[in-house]
Amino acid sequence: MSLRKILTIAWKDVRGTFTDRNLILIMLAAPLAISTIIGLTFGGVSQGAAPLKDIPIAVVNLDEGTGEMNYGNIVANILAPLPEGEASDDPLAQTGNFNANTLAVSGIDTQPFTCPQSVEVTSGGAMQTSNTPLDELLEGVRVSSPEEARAGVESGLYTVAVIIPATFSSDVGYTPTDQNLTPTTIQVYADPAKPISSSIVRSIVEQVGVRLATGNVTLSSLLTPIMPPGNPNPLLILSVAGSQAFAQGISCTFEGVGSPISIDQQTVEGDDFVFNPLVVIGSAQAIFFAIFTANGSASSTIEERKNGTLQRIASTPTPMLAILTGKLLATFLNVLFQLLFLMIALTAVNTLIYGRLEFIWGSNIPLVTVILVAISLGTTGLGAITAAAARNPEQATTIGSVVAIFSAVLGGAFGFQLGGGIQYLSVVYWGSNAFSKLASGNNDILLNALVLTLFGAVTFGIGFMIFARRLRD
Amino acid sequence: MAAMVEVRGLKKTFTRADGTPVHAVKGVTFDINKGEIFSLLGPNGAGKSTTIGMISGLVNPSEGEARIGGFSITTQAMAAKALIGVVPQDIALYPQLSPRQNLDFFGRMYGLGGAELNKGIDEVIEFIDLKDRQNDRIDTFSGGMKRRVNIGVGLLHKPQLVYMDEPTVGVDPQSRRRILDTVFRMRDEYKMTVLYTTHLMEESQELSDRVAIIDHGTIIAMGTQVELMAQAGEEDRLVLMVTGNAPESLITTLGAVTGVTKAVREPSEEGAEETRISVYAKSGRTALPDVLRAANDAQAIVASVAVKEPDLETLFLNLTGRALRD
Repeated sequence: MSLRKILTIAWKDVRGTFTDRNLILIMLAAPLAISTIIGLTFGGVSQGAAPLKDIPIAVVNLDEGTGEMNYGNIVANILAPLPEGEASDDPLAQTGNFNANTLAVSGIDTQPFTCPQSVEVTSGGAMQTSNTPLDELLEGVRVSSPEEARAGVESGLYTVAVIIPATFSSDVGYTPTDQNLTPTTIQVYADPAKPISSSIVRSIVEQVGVRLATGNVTLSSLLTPIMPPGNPNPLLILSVAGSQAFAQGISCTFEGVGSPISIDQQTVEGDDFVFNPLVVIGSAQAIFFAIFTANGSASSTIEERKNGTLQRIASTPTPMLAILTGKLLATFLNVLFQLLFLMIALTAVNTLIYGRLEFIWGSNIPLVTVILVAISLGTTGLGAITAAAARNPEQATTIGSVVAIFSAVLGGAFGFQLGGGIQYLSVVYWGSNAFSKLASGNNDILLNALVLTLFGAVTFGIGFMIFARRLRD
Repeated sequence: MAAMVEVRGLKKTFTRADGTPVHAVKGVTFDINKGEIFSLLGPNGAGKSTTIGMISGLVNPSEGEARIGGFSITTQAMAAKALIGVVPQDIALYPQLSPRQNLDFFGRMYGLGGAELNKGIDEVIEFIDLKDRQNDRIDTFSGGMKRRVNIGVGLLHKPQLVYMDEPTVGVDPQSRRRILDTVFRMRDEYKMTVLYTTHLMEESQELSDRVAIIDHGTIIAMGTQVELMAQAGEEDRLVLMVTGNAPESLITTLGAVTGVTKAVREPSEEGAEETRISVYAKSGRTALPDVLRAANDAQAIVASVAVKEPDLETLFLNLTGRALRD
């Protein structure tokens, strides 16, 4: 088999693809535009309302407090406010009685402290101002144990479980008597099938944590000089904090810098998970469109047969094996170049949206390359088998579209993902999941790469055989 | 003379979707000598393209064997294909590429490269007279220009044998003339052997050293022009177009005219407004007045009449009872 002839066929097809303006529009511009829109919508620049409501979350507050304060209650009350008139019997709980938008410290001051009007959601590194009140966005339930909360997430009852550690208050508390800040972790246990909801909850928790820590530091540094040493009075602190003058003067300091609180987000499988819509949905969209490309490119064999050019090549001293290998190599290269372009472009979009240059696909370039190749193989195989199943170019387009949309829906390319294991049937899922892991610094993508490669090899082989048989007849 | 192509008992049977077999080629046998123009003449659907498909290695024969330059097309396909240049019936080019790029691509498929390929492309571009347009996209070309490139691709690697499958279908008279002249040049200048398929009797007569007439997948006559004319007989043929559906009595009347040997009603398309009648006579011109008088006496309206000397169409009609155009 002549390698030169294979490369000639492949090069002819690749050149044909990337000099066709219409194809470029479909292959590159469309997924880039859709991903950018999704990035803007979910990533923080849009001023529109948050796209989700009533996200079911379970909150477990294990915080034992510091005597006067229970910061865990503050977080828990924000995420899962107690019903009106149902104040906790625990006196510690009174100290953090936030409702969704207002810090009301009853009986201390008539001037309630108004939290910033909106919930700022960090997602993909940028701030999003959502006008949706938090109590509309979240449907929080207090749960007594982490096990119960996790079980609820695994059963689908909750999207996310937020677990506040027992040492939370002592770790983040900054008082005249304890001026040591200790890094602490709020665990967010998420359903991987609902990445957007999980990410929003994670961002809220993160922001609340950041505000709590920085606000606490600011208050303490402001009030320490006027407080008698060894006699901190939280009621006094809060009455000062609740004044209008304080709110106007100090609220600007409630910014997310230097937080000692980190968020440990895990999926049901226990994987680390960071939601950047340009990675999760952008990669899924890229793979979705790559399936179209693969199908279109593989279908060009049928198109060439219809136009007589395939027969003309077959009339030359070129074995059919070489012809088909060249055609499918072109399909693979088209997909590879498309994905590569989209990854770079989405990185550029991320830079434009969030204002900082960052390679969003993770730092492990060799593994990113491996998964890129594996996805290209998987989609090429899928394209080959769907094109081979068709009897004419029109049929190939129809079958290819159905397969692509089916894979995209299963794989989460439209912002939601079907659970129950059915998502494992989709190359979009395996590819997007691998990119999300790599972006989160999790290099455990061996299974993803294996599944994609194996899937590609099997479908490629079957498609190849069907094509070869058709062309012989 | 040595045979460039040897075809022995080639058969091809396709299977319809409903499982019924279609015998497209029912066992054809012929030789083509080196340096000759050999025509495969037959109506549409006669099996010409399937035969060419089999002897160019594109269609697997159900039975039989073909050898090109001594190489079996089934067991030594690559060696056989290297000797062949194919000019398909439809334009088989990449429309988004230029003639030069098309030639370059197909040249590489024949294993050409480097200076040899560039020289070959220059020669072909010159041969098909498209030097000025060699870098323009094919999809901006007229039909005739595309045909010329289509032929050029088949000649690039200087094949010993060129298959031309109805290359003049849908072509204007000027382009057709140019294609026929090209076929002569291929034989005379490049010493190529040409296998030419057509359903046009005139083309076959003008071009061919030898002709095989194929119908329903079977070769029904084969030979040089002289040999085939002898088979066609020496009678002239008067072709009468009679308005309306001519009665059988008219055919009988015309057959009884002095000097006429027979009169035959030719099959006509359903709903045709005229009946085509062939009247055979030793001398068509002599018999013509009496034939027209007899038709007039039978109250038939003769719309047109043509006197035809023996030709391949006559032979085809004699052999099949049908006109070649059917």
